[in-house]
Amino acid sequence: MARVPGGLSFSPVPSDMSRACLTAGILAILAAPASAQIGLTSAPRSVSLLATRQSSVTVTMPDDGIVTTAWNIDPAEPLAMTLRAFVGQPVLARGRAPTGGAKAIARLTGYLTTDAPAVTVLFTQPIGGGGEQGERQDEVSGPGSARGSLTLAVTTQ
Amino acid sequence: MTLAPRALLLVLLGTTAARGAAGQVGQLGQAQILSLVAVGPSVLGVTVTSGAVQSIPSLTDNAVNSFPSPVAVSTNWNLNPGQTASVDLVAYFPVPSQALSGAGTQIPSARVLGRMTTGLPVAYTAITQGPVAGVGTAGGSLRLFTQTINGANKVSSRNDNLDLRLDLTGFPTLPAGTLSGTLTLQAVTQ
Repeated sequence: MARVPGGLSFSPVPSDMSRACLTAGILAILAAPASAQIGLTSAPRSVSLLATRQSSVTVTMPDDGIVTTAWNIDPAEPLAMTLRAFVGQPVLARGRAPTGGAKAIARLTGYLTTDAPAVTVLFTQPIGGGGEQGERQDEVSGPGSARGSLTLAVTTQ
Repeated sequence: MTLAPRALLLVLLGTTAARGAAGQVGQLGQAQILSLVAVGPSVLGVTVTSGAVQSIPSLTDNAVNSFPSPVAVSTNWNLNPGQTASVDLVAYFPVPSQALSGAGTQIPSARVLGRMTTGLPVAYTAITQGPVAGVGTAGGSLRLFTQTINGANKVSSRNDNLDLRLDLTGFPTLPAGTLSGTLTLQAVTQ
């Protein structure tokens, strides 16, 4: 029995116990990597994805004279769009175009032509405030008849 | 796994042995053979060698839109085959319901398809699987490959291409604008 200055005594460690401790320790060391390698993860890597839906405006005008304008415009870009009618040759015809909200038909707002290639504004549609996507129908007509080609174009600003 | 915890255990064992010897005043203990085993740290890494930024400049509504170039991925490892059965590479979105978002809308991960012709999803597959060994998100993951580890490839690497596309078939018309998202790639051992 050995004694230390404090008066406490303890038994010397038997060599068998010492060997057992060492064996257990070594086994513990060897076992450590087994649990560590299961579920080992790499650092995460990021892939950035970007996809853009471009703004679009389409104008269709079947034979019934109803112009359908559909738009899907990035609200970060324009504030309004304008539908204009172009007449490529001298013609005198009174045009009717809406000035109110969607689908509203107003009285005539002007002539479609002069003696030079003419342009008239049929409507200006504000964009934004929930109006980034939409569709409206407008009648373009006038009394009498005229020959020539009519071009419709939408511009944004 | 680093060597530090094992080194600490060795130090503790040495201290225990020394205390026992000090207690046996005047006695000689039996010589002990202490086997030291040094094991290098395991390595598992993933690198995106190209295509880390994927872009579709002009989406088409109600159609499948492919990202123009693949994501080139290199995975490397240095593992103990006695303790690691396989390496899995997982792609996942942190928030599956918002894989891509912007312009006031979100595209869920179910609309994002991935393909790895050298891996498991050889055909385009929605990124809607569950986590693998704890890596990934529920409903927003895709296991890209499972690589068996053995003595012949315990230190090795592999290169794969991940192709991505957006399936907008039947999806509501997207508002004009740009959507963005982040796909995470991570490898895990099992």
